[in-house]
Amino acid sequence: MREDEIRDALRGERADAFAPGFADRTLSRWHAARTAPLPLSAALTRPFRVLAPLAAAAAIVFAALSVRHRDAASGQTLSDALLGARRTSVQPSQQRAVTLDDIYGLGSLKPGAE
Amino acid sequence: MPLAASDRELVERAAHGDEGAFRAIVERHERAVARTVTAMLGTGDDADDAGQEAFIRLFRALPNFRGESEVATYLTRIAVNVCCDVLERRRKRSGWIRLFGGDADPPIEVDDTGDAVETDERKRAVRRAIAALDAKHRAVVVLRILEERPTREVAELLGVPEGTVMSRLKRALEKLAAMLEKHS
Repeated sequence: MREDEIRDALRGERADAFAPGFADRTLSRWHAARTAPLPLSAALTRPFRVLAPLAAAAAIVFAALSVRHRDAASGQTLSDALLGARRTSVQPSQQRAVTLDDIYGLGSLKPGAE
Repeated sequence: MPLAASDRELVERAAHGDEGAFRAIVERHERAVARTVTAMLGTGDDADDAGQEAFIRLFRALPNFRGESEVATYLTRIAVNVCCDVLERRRKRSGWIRLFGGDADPPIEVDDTGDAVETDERKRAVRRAIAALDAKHRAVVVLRILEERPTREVAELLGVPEGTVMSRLKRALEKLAAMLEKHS
């Protein structure tokens, strides 16, 4: 495949100018684009770009504080601390099996039911 | 070549919403954009629409334009990207039409009226083969072969390494040769 053959074929194909009035059409479109209301995605993107770094920074600060105040004595792991979760211990005498019926059964609707 | 002072001034004014400056940019670069866009898409409404879109995108990008490249180069890059988007949309549309058993639109609009060159069967075959290339290969063919830009400039325009331009060009030529072989 010769390059000059491709060049010849494409030269006959292309135009040296758009149809008359191209600048006017472009300017009209430019005006329309400027006056058109902002699309929802663009409207949401702007505040997101401002708020997302702040939210990320806040999350890092809270995570750092949680890790710093980790209660290692109670067995709280690093991942628990990162999530702000605390270990609670239940005395063996208070332990009992919890069934799905306890949680979702009609008994849970009785007055005074836990 | 450094950015022409008048271009820089126009860009500055257009970025601040000066309509006259924006119009001057459009009128100054319209022909260059037309040549690239019509070579990529063929003449017709799609090309006109893509040309307008290229200038609108340029206007939106003006606040970020630092004048490191010429306006013409920056605009050509935008125009090629717009054309690639159009070609990709055409490809998807053709795929859906074929899926439902219809005849897809020809991917390039060829003006067959009265031009003696158009009657040449071989040239038409070459044009059809180029039209069948995908966007990234067609962009390299147009910029490197038709517009005779150096490989380095094509790489800059397409945002790819020079080696990628060379390999795409090689692949495009192989594809064209294969399609023309099948045709003949």
